[in-house]
Order: sequence, then structure tokens, then C-alpha cells
Amino acid sequence: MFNQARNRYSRQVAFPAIGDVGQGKLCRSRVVIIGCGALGCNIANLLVRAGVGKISIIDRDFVEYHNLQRQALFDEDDIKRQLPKAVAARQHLRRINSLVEVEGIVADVNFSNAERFCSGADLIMDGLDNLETRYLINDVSAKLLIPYIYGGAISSHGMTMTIIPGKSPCLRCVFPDLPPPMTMPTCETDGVLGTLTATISAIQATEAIKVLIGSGEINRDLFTLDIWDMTFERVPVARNPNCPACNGRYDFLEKKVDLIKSSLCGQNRAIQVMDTKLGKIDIAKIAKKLKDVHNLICNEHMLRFEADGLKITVFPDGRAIIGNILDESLAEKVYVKYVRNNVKSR
Amino acid sequence: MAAISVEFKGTWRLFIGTSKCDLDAVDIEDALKQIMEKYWPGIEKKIKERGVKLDGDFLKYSYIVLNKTDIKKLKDRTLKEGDSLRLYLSVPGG
Repeated sequence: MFNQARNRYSRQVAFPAIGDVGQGKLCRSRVVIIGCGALGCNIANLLVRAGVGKISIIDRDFVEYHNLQRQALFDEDDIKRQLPKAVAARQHLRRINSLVEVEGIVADVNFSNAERFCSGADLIMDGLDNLETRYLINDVSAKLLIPYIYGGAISSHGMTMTIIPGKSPCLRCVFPDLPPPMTMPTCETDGVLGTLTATISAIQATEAIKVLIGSGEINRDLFTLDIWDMTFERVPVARNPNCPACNGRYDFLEKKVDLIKSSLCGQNRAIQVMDTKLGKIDIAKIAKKLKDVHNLICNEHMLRFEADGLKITVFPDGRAIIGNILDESLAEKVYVKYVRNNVKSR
Repeated sequence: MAAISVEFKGTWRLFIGTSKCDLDAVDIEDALKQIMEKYWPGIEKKIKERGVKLDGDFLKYSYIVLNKTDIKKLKDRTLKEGDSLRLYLSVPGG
């Protein structure tokens, strides 16, 4: 290790279970963090400070005021600059530790790109806000044999589990079925404490360090806590011999459709639509073609406007978030009218 | 018939608004049937308020343990006095 790194990581290296050898492994590791909400922010902060060599952060959203209560990497300036979370996170993390290579990717993680984003990583970290994408990432972890650290938080309740493919139970071993979209509570409907997300993410990051250095002390249980009641529990779990993901059937990764429609957690009455065949789109060109729209804003990260009583945000990766809407088929029509038709027309 | 305690963890508690209950049941199936009879109407109402409908068995989304053992692994389903049943759902937010 060079002198700057030796000094920077000295307190961590002095911890016997890590030491020089462990720190060297951390510095050579690559971690992918899927989602940069409260969990993702804290995980990224802790792993960048710990000296993980390369970190990729993938998130589809922008920083908003209701994020600041718990999403510790962001500030008011990020909102004023209308920055995507992945971009803002990268900027803050680079100032924390310039020795770490940090990549910020503004994208929706779905079946068409999840394997590509995770390929080559030593570890996948869960910073997500919905179960659908977690089941997809669980499939990727099982298929690519990359460890995955699940974490979830809502209200005062949190849960985390360290998944080592082929060795420990995966998410589907414990919870085989994914509840249908919109049936589960969200942080918007039931709230969430910043102290909870800080605690769960700290446990996830500690597990990450153990996985990356090859520690034998990895958590094998389902860990749950209630931060308000101060109840902590390690629930024994075991591999399920009939688990589809552990037996090579990747239901969520193989659920391929051209047009992805998903109701967004935490964004009341918003539906995201994406045509996976469009690929990268030129949002500035679309902005020039739009007629009869209001409050149009366009920068390098997004195009936002209002039309037909709806708030529409279009991203360069080809997706759009349609606000003030509950009907997925109507959201699809809006997407086709304002995005797909304008991409395809000359 | 055995008197047992039931604990509702995390997301379960958000759905039903309580963390525990006591009941008398013969076996695991009897206990789960009683739980659903008592709490499903409230759960269904909450789900409907979100503008969606859930058909089928809500319990299939749960991880359920009896005295720390996954109930899927238990061949003897009979309950004994003082048994503890715990229900978990995956935690969705973050």
C-alpha cells in the first residue's frame, strides 16, 4: 500500500480481522450498488471510506427534498441542480475518497441490463426500494455466482441477509413468491426512520467487508430488527432444495417483454414505462419536436414537461416516468405518443 | 388444543397493526386458518386502498417459523402448549 492509503486506512487495518491483507483485498475489489436511496447512500459512503477499489452505483431517480431526511449523500444543492442520484452520489463520494474509482450510472435496472451491470463484480449490494428488482437481482446473483447482500427498511422495521450463491439460502429460498406490485406498504405510505436505514445499511456494509476479505464470520441468518422497539433477531434460514433460482431457473431475469411498465414505489400515482428496443435516445431532439406542452425543462440528464394534465419525465436511456396516473395502459399510450413516436419520426 | 403465542414481524405488523396475539389451536394449519380469519379482512382492505386486488393465499409470501424452525420442514404439525409461531414478510422499502 502507498503511504497515503496506509495512513487513511490505518484504523481499519489495525482491526485484526482485516489487517494489511484484508485491506489489500478491499482495495482490489469491485462492488455494484443497485439503488441509491437511503440504504444505497450509506452503503456507498461506508464502502468508499473503507477503500473498496471500484464502486458502481446505479439509480434511476433524481434527488428530491423528501429524500434528505435519510439519504445521507445528498444536499439541497443537488436538488437545485436537478441532479440524478447516481451523478450526485458520485460527486460527493469522489470528494470523500479520491483513491476509489466511483462510477455513477443513471438507469433503471431491469432484465435487459441487470446482468451487464453486475458482470465482473465481486459483490452486489442492495440499495433498492422495491421487491420486484430485488427478485431480479437475486436471479442475477444466482446465475453469475456473485454474492448479494439483501437489505430492506420500512417504518421502524429492517431486514438483511447475506447471500452466497451455492452456499447459503437466497432470497427465494426464504420468500419463494414475489407479492404482486403495489400490494406491499411503501416508505411513502408507512414512513421510514433515517436511524433504521443507517443501521441496516451499516450491517450490510459490514457484511460486505467480510465477504470481500473472505472472512469466515459471515452472517448465515435472516437478521431482522425494529429500531423503535430495540428488538433484534437472528432467524435461522436454510437453502430450499426446490428453490427455482438455486436450481438454474431465473424467472425474473427471463421475464422478457419489449415494453416494461412498473408502478413506482414512493412516488404516488406514477408509472414508469420503457421500450427496451429503443436503446439510448436523444432527449434534446424530442424536446424540439414537442407541441402543446408546458413547463418544459431539458438538461443532459432528463427532459421534463407537462401535457394532457400529466407530468412526464423522459430519460436518455429510453424510459419515462408518467406522474398523476394509475392506469398502466393509459401510461403506455402517453409514452408512445410523446416518446416512442418522437424517437421514430424524422 | 394448545395455547400458543403468535408474533407478527416487520411488514406483517404494518398490515395488521399489532405485534402479537395468543390463540388456542390443534396444529399449525388450524393456527394459520384462525390468523387469516381474524386478520385477512383488514389486510385486504389495506391492499384495496392502494388500488390493487390480491387474489390467492397471502400466507405464501410469508416465512413462518415454529419455535425457530421453518414450518415447511416440520413433519409433525401438532402444536404443544407454549409454542411460539412467528410470521415474517420480506421488507420492501429502502
